[in-house]
Amino acid sequence: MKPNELDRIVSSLDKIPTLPVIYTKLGKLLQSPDATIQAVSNIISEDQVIAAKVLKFVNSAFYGFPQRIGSIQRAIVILGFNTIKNLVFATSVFDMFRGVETMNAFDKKNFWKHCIGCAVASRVLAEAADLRNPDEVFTGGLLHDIGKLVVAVQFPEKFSMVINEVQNTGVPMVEAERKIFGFDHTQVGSALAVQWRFPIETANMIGSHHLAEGAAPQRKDIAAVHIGNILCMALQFGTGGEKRLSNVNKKAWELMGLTLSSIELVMEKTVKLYRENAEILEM
Amino acid sequence: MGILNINELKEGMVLAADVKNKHGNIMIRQGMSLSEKHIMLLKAWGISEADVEGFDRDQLHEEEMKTVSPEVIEAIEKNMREFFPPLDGNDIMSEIYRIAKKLKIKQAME
Repeated sequence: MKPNELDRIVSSLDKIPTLPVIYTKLGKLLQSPDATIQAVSNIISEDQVIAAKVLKFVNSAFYGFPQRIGSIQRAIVILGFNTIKNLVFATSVFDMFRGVETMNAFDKKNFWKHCIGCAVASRVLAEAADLRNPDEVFTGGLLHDIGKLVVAVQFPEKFSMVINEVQNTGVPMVEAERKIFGFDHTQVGSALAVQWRFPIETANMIGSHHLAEGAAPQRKDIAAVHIGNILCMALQFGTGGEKRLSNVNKKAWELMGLTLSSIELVMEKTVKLYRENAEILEM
Repeated sequence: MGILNINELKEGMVLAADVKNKHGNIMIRQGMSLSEKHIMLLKAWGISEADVEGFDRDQLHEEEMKTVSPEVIEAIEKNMREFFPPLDGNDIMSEIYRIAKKLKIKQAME
């Protein structure tokens, strides 16, 4: 499928909700010279639901601060604009789809569990590999399969066919998607991320998380989401619709630079943090 | 001696090696007998594991596993084998399988 054809499809998605106002406002503010702590905090506080969730996240075991962070302002001071921005983005998109109806073929609740699982696993991996941007990796992991949700909402009957094909033949979802739609969820997700003006790295994490055998990820954060996805499926947090687990791409593994013996701690930490995160996002 | 998870540490255990933080600074020295306070501090410092005298993790796990019925374990194994790709020769996937199975069994005990 040609890139502009995909863009056309993505632009014509009219059944998906629009991004919360706070998200676009925040994005604009952060790019302007008026981005002070107070201004950013004010915008976030306009949406009490998101503000509350951001505070829960910053007080969670992910960050492990000994003292409770009681305000958005303090959270920005301690964690910086980038972390807070990522948390707002992640919770915005999540909230956006809360009220959306999906047909029977799409189990929304289990889908979100899978997304949270991937977010957590990817972030734990990113930290273990000392990556500079674990919160961006969290967002990438959370949204890696957003293309599936969007396609399920916009084209429910065809998406049902994809699910059935996967269940009956055991092929990966991307294969069934390409066969039935002519594109796959990583392409849709990544095109959507670009349209939503997410950072290009996030769009790439979404677009490249399924690495074909022999393919090499260009960056460690892509590798982290790729591996995080496989780990969360191995741990069976919800489901992304796959019938079979795929292999970890060898080059992705090598790029991360982790030892085999570190997998155990990564997976244990993921299980522990998953429970906490699922609670925060009210799953 | 064995490396235990921070959550498995108990008062009275003796450190088999220095506990260091992420930057390599020694937090508690080898040979120290852990008190409740030590364990609290380790958690506050974000330390996730410690090498402890006289305990072997897999041994601990073996003991715990005995409380789960063989049928449950078999059901877990069957379910996982269907989902996982072939493991021969693939050490990464084999390790992921091993740990996922261990954690699933642990979950079954809760």
